[in-house]
Amino acid sequence: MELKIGVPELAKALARSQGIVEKKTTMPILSHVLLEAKKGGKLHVSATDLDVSVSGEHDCEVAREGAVAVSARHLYDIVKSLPDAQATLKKAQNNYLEITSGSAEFRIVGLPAEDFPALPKFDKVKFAAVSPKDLLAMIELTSFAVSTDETRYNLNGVYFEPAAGELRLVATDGHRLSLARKAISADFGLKKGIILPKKGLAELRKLLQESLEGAEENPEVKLGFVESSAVVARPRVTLVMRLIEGVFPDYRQVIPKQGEKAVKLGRLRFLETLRRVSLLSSDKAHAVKLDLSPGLLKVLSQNPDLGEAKEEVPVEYQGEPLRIGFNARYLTDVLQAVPGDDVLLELADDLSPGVLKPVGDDGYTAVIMPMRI
Amino acid sequence: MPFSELTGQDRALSTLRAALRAGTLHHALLLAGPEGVGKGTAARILAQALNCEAPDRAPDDACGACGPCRKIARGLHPDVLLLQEERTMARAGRWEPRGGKTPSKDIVVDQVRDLTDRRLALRLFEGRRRVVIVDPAEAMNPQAQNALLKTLEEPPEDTVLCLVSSSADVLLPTIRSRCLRLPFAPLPDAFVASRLEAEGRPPAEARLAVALAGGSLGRALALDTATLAARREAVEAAAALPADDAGAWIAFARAQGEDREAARETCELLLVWLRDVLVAQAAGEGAGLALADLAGAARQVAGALSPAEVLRRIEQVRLTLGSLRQNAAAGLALERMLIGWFHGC
Repeated sequence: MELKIGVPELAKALARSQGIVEKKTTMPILSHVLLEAKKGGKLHVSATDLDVSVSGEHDCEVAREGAVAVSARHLYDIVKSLPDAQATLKKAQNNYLEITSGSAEFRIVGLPAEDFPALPKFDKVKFAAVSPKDLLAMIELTSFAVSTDETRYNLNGVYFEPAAGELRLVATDGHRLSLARKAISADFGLKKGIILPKKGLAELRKLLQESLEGAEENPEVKLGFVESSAVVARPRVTLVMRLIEGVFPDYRQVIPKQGEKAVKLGRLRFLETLRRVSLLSSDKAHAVKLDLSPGLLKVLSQNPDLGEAKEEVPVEYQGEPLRIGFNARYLTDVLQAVPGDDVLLELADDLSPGVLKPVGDDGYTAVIMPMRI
Repeated sequence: MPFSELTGQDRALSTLRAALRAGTLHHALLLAGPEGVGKGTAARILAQALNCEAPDRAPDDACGACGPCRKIARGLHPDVLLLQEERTMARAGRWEPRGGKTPSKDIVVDQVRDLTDRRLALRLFEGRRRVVIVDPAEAMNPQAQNALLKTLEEPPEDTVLCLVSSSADVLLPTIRSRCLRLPFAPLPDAFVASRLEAEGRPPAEARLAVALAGGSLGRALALDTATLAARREAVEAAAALPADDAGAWIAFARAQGEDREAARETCELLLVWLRDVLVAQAAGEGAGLALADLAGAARQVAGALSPAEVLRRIEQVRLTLGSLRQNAAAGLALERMLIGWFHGC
């Protein structure tokens, strides 16, 4: 392998891999980046921690094709400090990598490229184009509800389910559930839904944001699936995430039918009220009481160690009175994420789950389990 | 073909290969047998066979030369997970103990949880089958074993767990009952001897190593010339101990008892040698003795003692071996053995 590349370009390529290479040491090769010089003047830089892999394509002058894996951190540190604007990378015997730039020369120890974990072959992937804006919005509506309980790993991600002309993303931690739907006709070639891991989603969000901030007029991102991975491609960058093994629970059973008692609430007003009142609720459970009566919603919190808080919100409600407890955190998470000015809170009784939806938009549903009070 | 690397394990391997051919491999295997007879190698070859990509491969074997086979052999395959003692894995840079603790000599529950909750939670990376090799499985402490039970009973799709153990009976019964046990036998002495001679060991030394190794090639290879000579001298010294000089016994016991491992090996060699004494008594001059180097001493003692006396000494050595395995002070145990020999109590 021998190639000539601009130092800023190489630094950019390596900066992306820094976030991916594994900090925890499980396999020494995972702290390395794979450099592949391909014909047509391309340098592929890949990094993986086995959960998420990122591969970028960069322009360079390739004198000889080849590949080698070198320590990501050391190469990045070296490249950042190079004196010249151009650098030559050359693979020497025993997988050494020689870097020359101006009068500076480095020789760093590498590992054979064959030792690097094999990334899926992208050419076999059946890609479908998606709008990065839509996908990002859907991820932000759901990812906060993902479980952090490591022992229930089928809940440690967002369920991705293409269904008749629409795409559904669902996340739950057993106490609350978020469902985002959007009419997307793309065919992902999936027979059933799959689970995207939390860590992969964080990288995907970064990539989508980058693509939205980019200079392109109509940014486009392609999404495809191979056996055990999801592949996201935007021009010059490919992200691969390993899917979570296991079955996602049947979320349809959890979403209640139309609630008997529906209250329309101003989103920001309700959010601020909850924030204020929950200041005095306990640190662990964040319990708040909602006391609903015709024309009035009282939000209360009580903590024997601290005291009590109460706030009244006028509402247009004419049904039966109801008292119900919720974890305020679960309500505020939803209120922060949903768009629009008003939300609809649907309740049945004090032991049945509550449903939160933006008014006039059936693209999002949140289900929240009540607390016994 | 890699399975042919393993000799003398036809019983375990035929079960394994038949299951591979029929595609009915059990998801939890317990490779049990003495140390150094090829259990770890068998687990490695099984992982290779399940992931081999050679175009003309047999369903029940690996090529050993394709990309995945080479990666597995070098421990680099992302879908072949190895669980070892925490200390060993920390030293190899494959594990960091939680909470900055000193690495334990056990396989700890954190390692098992990391495996079951994190590594097995995702689908395969590049292989066809994921193989988890726990070697040595008896290093798992009871908490770690309990944490593995659920996964052992119902691992994720495409996952095979291989427990490798040289003392499988130490494992919790709940672990054992979830695994298909593949028994590995001690290797034939002739095979171990031929391998040692192929390594360039002189035949006399090879015979001694074989006698000490008890059918374990790994152990035989680990015995070096100096150790073997020291053990032989110890047996010669024991054979020559005078029955009426307690000072000499005590000096012998003190010298040999400095290192418990050495004391144990000496006792094992004594057992083989005392068997030679019995053979010499029963078959006379023409008898084939296991330890040719010590034949002179064996014949001499055979003439001096009655068979009942030799049997009693064998029993004393056995008792001593037992107490050495259970933390007895080596010097005292040997002293007691010699009192038993010469006083018959």
